[in-house]
Amino acid sequence: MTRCPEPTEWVLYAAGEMPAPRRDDLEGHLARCDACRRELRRLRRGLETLEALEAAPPLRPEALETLRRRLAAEARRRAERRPRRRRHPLRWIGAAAAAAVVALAVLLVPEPQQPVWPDQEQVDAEIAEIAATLDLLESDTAAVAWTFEPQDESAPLETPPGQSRYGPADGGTRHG
Amino acid sequence: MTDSPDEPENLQDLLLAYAPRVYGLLLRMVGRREVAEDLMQETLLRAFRGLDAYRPEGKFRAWIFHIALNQARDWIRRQQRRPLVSDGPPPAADAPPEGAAIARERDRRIQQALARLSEPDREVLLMRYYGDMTFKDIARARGEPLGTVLARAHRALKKLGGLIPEDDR
Repeated sequence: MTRCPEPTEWVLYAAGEMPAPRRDDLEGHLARCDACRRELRRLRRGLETLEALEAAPPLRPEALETLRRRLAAEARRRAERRPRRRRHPLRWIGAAAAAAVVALAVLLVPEPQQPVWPDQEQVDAEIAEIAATLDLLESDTAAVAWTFEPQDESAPLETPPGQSRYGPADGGTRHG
Repeated sequence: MTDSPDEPENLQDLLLAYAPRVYGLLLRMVGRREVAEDLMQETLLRAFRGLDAYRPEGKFRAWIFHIALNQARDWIRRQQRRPLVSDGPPPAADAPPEGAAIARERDRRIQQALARLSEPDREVLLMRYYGDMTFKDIARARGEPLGTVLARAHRALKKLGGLIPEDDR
């Protein structure tokens, strides 16, 4: 590696998050580049400075205890909420409300629109066009010698050795 | 530390285990112990209540710290000011007074340097060290490309690295 790596790569390297193949490249470059060694040294000083601060803030045990109590209370509330809903004597009110919403939705949903049909003239014109096309096809196909041979369903599936069921094995034409 | 709430019965313990780190991050962001404690509790209670919003494809830790960041940002916005310099820890009882004074002075300088960083740059560093998150996880938690997060970290680390001479630590 001759060019210096991107500065952000040194962040990953200094933090120990650079995957092995690229890490080897960077180490090879470091051995030859004073500027990158200085860059890395400064980033590492930044990391060490942060780590020196890391041990600083202890969490007071009372705060942790308060959290424990609040989490437990929240868990109890959640646990109580579900079964009570099932046993509630006025639970039919919810069902009635749901039924009313469904009924209202049915009333409010618009009826599907009827398809729009083309008028008779348009239909006649299209029929005439199709008929003309069919006439053309018929006259064209009359000039072609169709040699379709219906397959003999009773014929055995086996074919003689060296011959494909779908045509000659030498790649010749399939249709006679 | 487990990084997935696979067993709901252990969820409370899992959240309690995150409390010190979440608190550390929040304390560095808001600078006041009592506020950080309140926000830490709100963060973990929100996580508990909103577990349905957690998507298992992301890391649980990244999700927790994402909530914590939002809590801190909201508080800072409400205060309409930059975070204060942290209250910091009390000096250790068995530390010699002179050494404790030096340590306090060093912490004060570091905290001031952190407070001078832009909010996003500071958040990236704090998530890396208090959240114990990789830069990839931080990018996911912040919803930013990895390159952006690395550029923030590079800028912030260089400033911190130039703060204290090598022989001063």
